[in-house]
Amino acid sequence: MNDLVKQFLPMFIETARDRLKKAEALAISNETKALADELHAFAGEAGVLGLFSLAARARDAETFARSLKPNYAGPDCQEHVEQLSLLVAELTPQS
Amino acid sequence: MSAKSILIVDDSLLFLSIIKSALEQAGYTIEVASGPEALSCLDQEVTFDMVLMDVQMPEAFGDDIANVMRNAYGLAIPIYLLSSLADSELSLRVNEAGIDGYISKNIGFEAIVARVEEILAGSDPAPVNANSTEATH
Repeated sequence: MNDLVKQFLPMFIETARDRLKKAEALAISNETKALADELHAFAGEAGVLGLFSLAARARDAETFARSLKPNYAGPDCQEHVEQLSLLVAELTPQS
Repeated sequence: MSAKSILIVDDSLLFLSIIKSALEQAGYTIEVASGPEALSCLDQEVTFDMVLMDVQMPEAFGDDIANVMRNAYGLAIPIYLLSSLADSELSLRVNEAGIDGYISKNIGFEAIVARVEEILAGSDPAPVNANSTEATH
């Protein structure tokens, strides 16, 4: 089964980068629901691949985004997304 | 005996690819859909043994689709939500949709496969709590 992690980790990283780039834009434009949905998808993809800590951080960020008013994300949301981006940057595909 | 067949519904292509591969390695035949068009899969001649359904999708909530499968289509096979939502919310949605249960995405694909095997083997223990399977990565 670890072969699956090796197989899908590069795709996960690529997808995660895209999602977080989109999430960053949504945080800046204060689209909190769409931001939360993006973080939710990210959490699910990290969770199924067994990246449990990353998934937990994404769920925390999603919960925070859902707690906000519909049209105001604020700087804390951007901070959450930046932290997730740093964690994704630390992932290295296994050889 | 032919392989058991599972319909998986999720809007994430990455998620579908991972869980499809994991379940196929475990010997299951998998069909996937990315939203409400999953209902059209039920009109085909393929007979499924189980449905795994994401909840938050752009075009519809998975529990609503599952409800239609169970109550309008009369689908009597196990229908489970497969989501990273909190256990308490999933439990509520399962009850409201009148379906069989849920599996958390947060437990990783190996545990998801094990849970599917338990369900299709006829034993159905309580849902695995994601908090009890914390990170090894």
